[in-house]
Amino acid sequence: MAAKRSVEIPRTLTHPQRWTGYLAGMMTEAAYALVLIAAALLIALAARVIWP
Amino acid sequence: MMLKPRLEDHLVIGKYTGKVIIGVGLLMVIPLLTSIAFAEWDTAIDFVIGMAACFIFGFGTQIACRTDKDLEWSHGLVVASGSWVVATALGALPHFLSGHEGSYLDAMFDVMSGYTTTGLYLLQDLDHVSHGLNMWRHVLTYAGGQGIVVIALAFLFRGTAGAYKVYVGEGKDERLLPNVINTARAIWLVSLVWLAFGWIALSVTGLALGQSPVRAILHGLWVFMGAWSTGGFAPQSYNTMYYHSVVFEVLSVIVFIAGSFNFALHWAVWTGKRAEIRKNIETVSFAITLTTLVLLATFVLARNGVYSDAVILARKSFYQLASGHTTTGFSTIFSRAFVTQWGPVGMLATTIAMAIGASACSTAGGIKGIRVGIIAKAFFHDVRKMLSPESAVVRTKYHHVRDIALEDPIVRTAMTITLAYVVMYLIVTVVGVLHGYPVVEAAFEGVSAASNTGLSCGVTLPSMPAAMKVAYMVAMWLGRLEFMSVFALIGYGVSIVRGK
Repeated sequence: MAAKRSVEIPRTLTHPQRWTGYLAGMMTEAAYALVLIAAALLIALAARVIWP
Repeated sequence: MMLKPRLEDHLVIGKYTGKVIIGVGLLMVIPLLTSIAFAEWDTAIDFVIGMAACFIFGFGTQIACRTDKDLEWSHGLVVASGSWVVATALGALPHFLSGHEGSYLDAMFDVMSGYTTTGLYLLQDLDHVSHGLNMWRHVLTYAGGQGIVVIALAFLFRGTAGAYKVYVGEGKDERLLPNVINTARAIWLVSLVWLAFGWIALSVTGLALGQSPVRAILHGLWVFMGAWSTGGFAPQSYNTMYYHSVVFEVLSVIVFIAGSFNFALHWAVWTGKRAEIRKNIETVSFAITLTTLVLLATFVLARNGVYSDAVILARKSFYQLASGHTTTGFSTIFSRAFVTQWGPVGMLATTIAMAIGASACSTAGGIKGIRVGIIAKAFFHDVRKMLSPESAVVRTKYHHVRDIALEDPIVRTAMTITLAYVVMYLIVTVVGVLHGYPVVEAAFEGVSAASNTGLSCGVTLPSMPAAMKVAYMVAMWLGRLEFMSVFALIGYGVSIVRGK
């Protein structure tokens, strides 16, 4: 099992097989920031409704 | 009894400090080449002098401190904190020689602010600084964000067993990979991949905004470096307000929020554990505290009618608070607007955001989300325990890459460091008040320095008293290295004098 796993996950950090995972990770991190921005926009809309 | 350090101790500390300073000298190649590319010959000479000083110190210590002894824990801590002081003193040379600084102290303040990713500055006439010096400001904040020791680990140290001890001394105590050198390389991989994407996105936006290609590329790079390192340096005195662009703001927010993540979180998400982003105690804690503070500030700003419509209100409120919470220090309002428009409640919300800070083992400063999360969990754990029958066993876990049982030593460590930060925040506030600043402004600026944020309400100026400049520099240094290695350096100094 250990041998199989070492074949599946390339040892070098910059191996081409790793890059799709890296890019998906970056997208996930960007999405987290965008969700927070969206929440701030909703808060501002609510604030303007309360204090027009 | 305090033991006097032996000659071997001095030699090993000197040797490794020298290695780190060689790394700083090598970093100056980047601004030197920038100066040459733009025919800024005076600036190029400043960097040649700076590099010469670093290499004389670095290679001098390699010759003078020859030893085969490897680092012990105390050595690692002393090297980490000591090399930041030497790097600041020597890194300030190009700043001082540029003629843009009022004194060598001001130059050291700016360099310490850069390395510690704070972002406060005393440099004068920023809008007319040479490209080379601007590049140096941003390179040192980018390098400082990863940790100047991490640079040396990644590129200069050859697999020494003591490497991990220096790495921990710089306030980064998580291994992304079993080998600490590979951990340092993984940190650089994450940073460089983000650099490639962030630089391109910001440069294209700059071009779309009408900047010349060269200017767009340079500004894109510098703003990325300021954002990713949560440093807050920007190439213009108006900071990111200069761009007047919602796209630029959104991109910079994405970069500085990502930059404020724990490198262990990055590595987990990048290697397939994508659910980590919504389960990790640090991202959960950050989302809760940021949203709560945005709610508070936005409602107060809306009630006072400071901004005309909801989009501007959201842009201004979220940007300053997210920038403060990630300890970046980018700003899209004038410094004095915190005092004249945001008022005490808005300033208090921003001060709390800065005080908490972002993630541990990241480029950010402050108490850190993981400690706030652990303390909150411990509080609820105690409440649950109180409400449960005496015989009940109450267990609490928190999630940080894996599930971890909440135990007393973890809570105690989190409380100790939090208390140390709170005491430091109080001390810098008192220093400001004693120099005649109103308490809200003194707290805002002091916490900004101590949490390595860099937002300013107008206190940090070249005319600021020298004692406050020194206090802020010490606070930046303590805050960035999280106390222990600085205390180890002080202990080392005391043991030389008083040890037996």
